[in-house]
Amino acid sequence: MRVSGLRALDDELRVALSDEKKVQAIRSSLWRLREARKFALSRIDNYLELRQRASKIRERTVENLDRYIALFTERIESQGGRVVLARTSEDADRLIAEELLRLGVRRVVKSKSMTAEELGLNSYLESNGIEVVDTDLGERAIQLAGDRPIHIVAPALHFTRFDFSRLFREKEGVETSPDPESLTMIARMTLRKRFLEADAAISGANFLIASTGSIVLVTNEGNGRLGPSVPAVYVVVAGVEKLVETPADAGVMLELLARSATGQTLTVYTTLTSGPQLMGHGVRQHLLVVLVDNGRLRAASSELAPALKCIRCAACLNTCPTFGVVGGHVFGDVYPGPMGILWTALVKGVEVANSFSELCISCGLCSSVCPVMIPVAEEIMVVKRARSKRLSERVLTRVASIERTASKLPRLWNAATSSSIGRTVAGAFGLDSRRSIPRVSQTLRMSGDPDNQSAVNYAYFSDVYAQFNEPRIGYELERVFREAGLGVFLPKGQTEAGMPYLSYGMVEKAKVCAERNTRVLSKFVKMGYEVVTTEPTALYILREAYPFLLKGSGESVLVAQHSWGAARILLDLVNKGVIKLRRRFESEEVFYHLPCHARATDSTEYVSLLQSAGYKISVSNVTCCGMGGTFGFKKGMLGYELSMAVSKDLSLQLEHFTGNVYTTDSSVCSMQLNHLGRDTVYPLSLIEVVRL
Amino acid sequence: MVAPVGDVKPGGLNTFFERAKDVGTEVFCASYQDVKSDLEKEIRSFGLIVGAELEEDFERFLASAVPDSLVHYESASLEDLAKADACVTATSELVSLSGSVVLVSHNVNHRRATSLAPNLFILCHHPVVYLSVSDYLEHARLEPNSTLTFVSGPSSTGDIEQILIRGVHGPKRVKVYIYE
Repeated sequence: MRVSGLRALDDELRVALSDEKKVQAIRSSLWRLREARKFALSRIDNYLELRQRASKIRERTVENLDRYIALFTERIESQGGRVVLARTSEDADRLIAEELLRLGVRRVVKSKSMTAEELGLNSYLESNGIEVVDTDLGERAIQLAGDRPIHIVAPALHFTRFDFSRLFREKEGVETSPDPESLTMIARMTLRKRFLEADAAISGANFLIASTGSIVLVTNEGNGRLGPSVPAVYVVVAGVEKLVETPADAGVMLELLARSATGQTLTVYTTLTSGPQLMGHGVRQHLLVVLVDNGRLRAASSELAPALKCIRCAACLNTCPTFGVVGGHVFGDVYPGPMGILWTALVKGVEVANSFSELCISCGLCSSVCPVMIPVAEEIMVVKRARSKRLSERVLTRVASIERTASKLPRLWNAATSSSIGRTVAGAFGLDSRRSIPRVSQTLRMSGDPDNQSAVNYAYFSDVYAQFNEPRIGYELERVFREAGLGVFLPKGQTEAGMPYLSYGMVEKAKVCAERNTRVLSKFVKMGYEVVTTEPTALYILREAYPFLLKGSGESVLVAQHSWGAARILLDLVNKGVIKLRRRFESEEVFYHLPCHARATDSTEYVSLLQSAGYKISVSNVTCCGMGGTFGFKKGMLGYELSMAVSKDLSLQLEHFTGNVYTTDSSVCSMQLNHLGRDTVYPLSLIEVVRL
Repeated sequence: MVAPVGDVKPGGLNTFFERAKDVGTEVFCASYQDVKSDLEKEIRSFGLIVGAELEEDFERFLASAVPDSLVHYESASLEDLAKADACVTATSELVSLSGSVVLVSHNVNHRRATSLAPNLFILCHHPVVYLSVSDYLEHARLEPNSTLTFVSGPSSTGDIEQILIRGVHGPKRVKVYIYE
């Protein structure tokens, strides 16, 4: 268990990032899984509807756990099986061991189960003299190596074929060539023997159907189907949250599980086992289902309740920028990645979760890919609330007030912060001296009231960067909107969006920003104005974070529904034939870096917009530039070093780009691009609007 | 793969053909006689074949085609099932979008037989084609003490460097025969 705090995580990270082979294996595996998911989802036309239905089904589970447990128990027992509810992990281990020992079981074949990992079931059973053989190929390699799974769906993705070959030679005494086909056949041969000799099978469950007493288990290799069909004893160990009410509910979940996990439409074997199986001659298999509470029932009425909706698809792991370089050995406890922060908090407590929660850089991608609509990123912010804060984080959350003051004397501030003394001072505050401190300018000045000359006006939510660092962004917005016949005004009283507060778990301070900005903007929305942003993070905050922080208040939802990126507004006009766009730059080729928060809000319109103006666009195909808001400003492994490790894919793509114009709409992404040696221009500066 | 003989639902069987191929299942769609003759070619060299849940007529056909190799799943021992080269079974239900075949087992030996043999042949007479797994489960009646499996291709793994290998713990080859 990881309980020793930030220092240990720094060290683990240093070791992890120095293993380039492992980093590359994680990167390429997760890239393939992301691409597969994207392809699978592109083949269905009702993804959003399925996602909403799935979310509702899982919400019903969380709200009805006691009822579903009772119903499932009754349905299993009416078919001749047995169900027990284990309140703690110790209870679960003890119950299973006692049952197996009572039945004289000595050899067990096990199919992959994260709940069993949570319980430490293998080692508990081994200590009671029961041999447990993991039968999933990856899990078996992990078991032979005495290692831990690095990923919940691909547990051994960090092992090469040579590692598999060595393990089979050293641990199973079988010599084979290191080609995957031969290695798989060795696994088939050695594990087949174990299946046939087993006294009992243990498996997890992907879902449990309460109304029919059915266990739903998906595996590609077939171990989950074969294992429970051989011995006379079958033990299922699953968290109570795996329950759904009906087969139809399970059907909806199955539509999303494999697509989100591996990009398959359906896993090779999706098996629904209803009650104990018949062994022949009227004999039933001995079936014990151990439903594990271990903090789940308490969590159902806590802030962590949404985490119970999780179906362990790992889409959030596959899309997480930092998980994508360090993997689950560093980024996780029993449960890895973004969902692992929530699940570790749930079953082991917030303190353990916070021993690695700093690896979350609040990009929001996890929430955007979750098939059951868990606000993963926002829930993580709540977990982070209890984490001790670094000095650098305390400084970075004060950026808005510091820059507000600095913008009164910009030349002095800029001279000071770019000097060696300035950098030394920044270093003393925990910031990395290799980063340039953003320059400030005189504050953005725009009218605070709608423009009577324009038929349509937009309320501009500027956030800090356009306000104090690059007011040109606001002026460019004014220009293109004026060219398009639109008005824009800067409502008075708005404040910073508050992303750094959220990133570092200062939820109460973020809530103050949320309340103020919502109050200011909702007044205009109620008057019929829409809100426009130029910063993807600002849009993400308005759409996702504020409704979460304000618990879905009517005003926050209203603002969320009426907030748009500037590109979306312009693209709509292009598509309606109201305007057309022209290039303002001679160079045709443009590299556009798509920011995390733009993808998290599905706001990718700049690609089409710039194409419509006549540019040839190369779009970055990375999860993140690595900056992670203000994360990349921090000194050390959990800051600059990890930020640069994440940025490597982007660096490679930049090297392959043959043009010389680089653009992105995110302020922090532009800082990272600058740090990687590319000057950027704000995308609105690249276009000119012509009214038709 | 032979061309489909006709759809039970518009688009259903054609989509099943395409998706089954995607997941590595072979599909042979032909007349009853052609199905028998192809299956006979497939299995005649095998030493041990398990027949499971077959229509009477097919059971008789197999008994005459491979009399020395055929065992019935209900009477087969675990050792026999483990040694079998092939299992021949039947279904009437397909799922088009996932290219899945639905197998229902009322006896653990059926599940064993269809899991252990390296070659799985599934006869599908007058198939009912469901659009998706959710479409199927919307109306499914899960019978007590039974298992229902959506088989979507041969047993597979990508655990070694994400390279797809078929035939891990279950069949390496799955072939579906569709006939009217």
